[in-house]
Amino acid sequence: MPVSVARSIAQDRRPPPAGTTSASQLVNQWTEAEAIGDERVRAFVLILRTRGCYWADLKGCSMCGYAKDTLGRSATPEELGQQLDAALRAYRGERYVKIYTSGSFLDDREVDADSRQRIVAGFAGRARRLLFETLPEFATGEVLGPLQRSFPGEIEVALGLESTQPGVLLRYVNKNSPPEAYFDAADRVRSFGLRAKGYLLLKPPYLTEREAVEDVVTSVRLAAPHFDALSVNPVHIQNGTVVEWLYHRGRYRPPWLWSLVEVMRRGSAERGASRLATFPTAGGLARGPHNCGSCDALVLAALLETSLSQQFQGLDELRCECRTEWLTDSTLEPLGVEA
Amino acid sequence: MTRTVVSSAGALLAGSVQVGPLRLDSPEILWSRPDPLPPDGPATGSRVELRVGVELPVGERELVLRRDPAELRLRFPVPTPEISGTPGMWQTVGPGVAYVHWPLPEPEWTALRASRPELVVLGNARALWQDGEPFIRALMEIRTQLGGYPGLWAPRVALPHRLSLLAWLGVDVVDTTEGLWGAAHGSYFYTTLGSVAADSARIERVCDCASCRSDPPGSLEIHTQATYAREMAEVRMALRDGRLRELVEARLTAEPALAEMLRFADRLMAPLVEGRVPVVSRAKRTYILRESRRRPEVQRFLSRVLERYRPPPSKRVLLLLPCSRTKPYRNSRSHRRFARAWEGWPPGPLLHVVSVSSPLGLVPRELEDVYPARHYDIPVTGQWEEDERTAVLRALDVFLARGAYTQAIAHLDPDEYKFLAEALPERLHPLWTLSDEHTTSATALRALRSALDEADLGPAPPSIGPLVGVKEGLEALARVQFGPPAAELLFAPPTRLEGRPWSQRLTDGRGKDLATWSEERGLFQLTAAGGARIVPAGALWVEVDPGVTLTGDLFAPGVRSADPTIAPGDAVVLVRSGALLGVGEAALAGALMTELPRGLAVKVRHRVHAPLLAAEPSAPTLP
Repeated sequence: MPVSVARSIAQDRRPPPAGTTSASQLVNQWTEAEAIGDERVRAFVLILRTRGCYWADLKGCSMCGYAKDTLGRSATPEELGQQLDAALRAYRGERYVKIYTSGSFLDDREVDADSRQRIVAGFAGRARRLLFETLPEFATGEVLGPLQRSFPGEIEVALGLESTQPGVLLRYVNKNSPPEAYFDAADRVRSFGLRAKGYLLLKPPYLTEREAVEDVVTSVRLAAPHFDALSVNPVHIQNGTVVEWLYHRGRYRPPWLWSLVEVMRRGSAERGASRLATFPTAGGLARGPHNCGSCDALVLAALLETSLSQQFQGLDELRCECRTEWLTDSTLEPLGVEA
Repeated sequence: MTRTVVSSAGALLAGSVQVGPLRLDSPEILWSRPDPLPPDGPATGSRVELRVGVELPVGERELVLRRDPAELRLRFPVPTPEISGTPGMWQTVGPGVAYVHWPLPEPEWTALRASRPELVVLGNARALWQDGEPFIRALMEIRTQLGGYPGLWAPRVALPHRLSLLAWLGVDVVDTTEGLWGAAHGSYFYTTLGSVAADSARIERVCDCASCRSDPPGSLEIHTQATYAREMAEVRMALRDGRLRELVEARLTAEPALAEMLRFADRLMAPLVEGRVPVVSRAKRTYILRESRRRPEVQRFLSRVLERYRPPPSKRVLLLLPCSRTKPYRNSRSHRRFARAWEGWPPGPLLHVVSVSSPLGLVPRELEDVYPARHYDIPVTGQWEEDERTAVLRALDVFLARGAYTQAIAHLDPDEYKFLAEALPERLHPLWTLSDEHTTSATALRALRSALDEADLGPAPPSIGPLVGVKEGLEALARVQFGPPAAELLFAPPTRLEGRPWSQRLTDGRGKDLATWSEERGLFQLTAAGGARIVPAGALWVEVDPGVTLTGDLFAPGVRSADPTIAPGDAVVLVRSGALLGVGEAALAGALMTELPRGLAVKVRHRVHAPLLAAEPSAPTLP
């Protein structure tokens, strides 16, 4: 069988084993607006450089290009220690701390158990809520128990659920596990008294704009019972991905911000007790979710405000001429048989 | 449930295709109807609409093709080859409708063929179009694997200015989705220039559709639909006149992709298309662009000369003349004046008059009536482009290698035809009879005559009369028409020529006609006796089904197999197990005689008389 585009891209994007210099450096770190309950807070975000997601090496998700930020080998405890030191030097006591690797924080191949312990403990007593992301198979009691003991605040485990529809998840996103694996992991996490957060993907490849909206709205409804918070991530075009390959051939357009607005409006009625937020990456840019260009900033600001306040009515008042264009695209697209 | 063919152009079999309950014309536009409907869109009823059907679970989508009251519901899969690694797939998506995501592995083609689809939907047509050449490869493979029978729909590739090209490529069905998409994003379609600034177009009132006429102007969607409708009318008009190719070429300025596709197609689809172009036509052809010179009838003329032509054996003097605007050349003013130069020149039959032509390379006098040599027009500038020179030089190689010339004379402007000077070998001690571009001046004609008088006719020039010269010329033509083996059988002694210069009869010398030739047609028609002569050569044969008794014309169901080189207009022999049943004129390309389930295959001119049939096994008669 010929090698798929996904497979050959996955091979191409994997970096060669890195030297010690870059291995001691974080991929990135920044702060952003967040909310804990009704309280507006700053969030400190850090991205650790690790060997990266094992799934990205095997098959890889169609929209994910984070493998480029990985080492090509496991980071040593010393290197992770240096990255933690750098993070702590930049940390100004933000109440919310989000820790990402370009994969799973709980995968021992990426972050060994001792380093994990040290990293979490590094923020103990200073942050009120600590988030880290992982694939569901690593969110076990054995791993979470010790972390819970070394961090006195709230721990929030983020899971990249993306979609609750198995077809979308397995065929279009190319995930490893069905939605139930994510539900189970979220239920498990909550059974330990931790928070569970789910990421939902707006517009994986092969979905039309309209199908993409329906997909997220459905996902909000089905996922809400399992998660304390849901965050909608509209696809942006990352380097070295199937999505990018399609984008370059005119076969993929990042979602309209109108679709995101629609998802948030309709999702707000389906979210039950869970929070529903969105913090789009590359919003308003050609490779990110965007509208016509003139209304993007306004729409993004409304989406941010909605995400923080959990008051969704403001979205109803957004207007722009390009809304008609979005509607026309959405209705014409399905007539094309294939993208 | 079948395809009806009214005319053919390029790879298109124009007419209609019946798909389940729905009749689709070929070419046909599906009018994409998104929600909400454009207020003044085309009325339903006469036109075929394309709509979204019911919502299906993820991984399937339903589209509806409807022409009231007939309706076709198609359930399409959503393949993910970039992820799955399975390059292509096909599946039945409705009654008689096959969806294809190209490319398919070989066993899948076999299965697809066995499903006998009426309509093939090339699902990834748009993606293939973006890639360029693969689009043409896909179309060619579909036709090679499935034949001309199934209708073909290429979704979401048609823009108004692409309609003629898509038709030429054999895409029977297109839709307006891509144009409506463009309109939604501000494109104003104008078929000559592709898309133009809407403001300019509307200020100058270049379009008189309802939307552009109204003040203030209406929606671009309506203008787009009107543009599709008008262009499709032009395509149909051109089809009626046999001029679709010219319309295709006229649209090339709209976007580079059109010329790219046409160039790919002229190369990759030539085997399919050349066989579909009639070998006889009275229509005047104009070859204006570089792309014009790649037209199938031109390519066929050039390749037939290269593969089959041999100069008549008695010709010793190769005389190269400029071509003329008037066709056939020999009737033009210039050529009639040239002819005065060799009037009364004693070894007349040893003179070979050959015209240097673009785009046909070299046209010897005996092929001047062969389509398209008799009916074409080109822009003449006196500057030869690379491909035009190549065509001349390649033909010249063949003439020199297969002819028995001892002398070459070029009555050509030495500046303009410099490229020929190097190609004429020393052994023919070429004489250039002109010093400037005046070819018909008294001086020029005197120079030509004295060159003839000086001509080297070799050690033992043949001594033949004019009639033998004509016969050799006709045999040279027969080689081009039937191929050398069949021509040799047809002209094998005893044969005799009778008739007039414009209408010749080849007989067996005992008064029985073998073949007739008229200058109007340019090619031979066979009689039964002539057909019997060429049967052993295995050329231009149509094997008649055992169940058919030949009483009138031969229709496609009665054809068991046919020579794939047969083109419409070809003189063909009807055979069964090696025995001649009759002769006639092909109405279809050889391949189509078995690919199509019905339609006239051969217009039968003569059936053989009973004695020749005696050896045949008795066969049941069709009612």
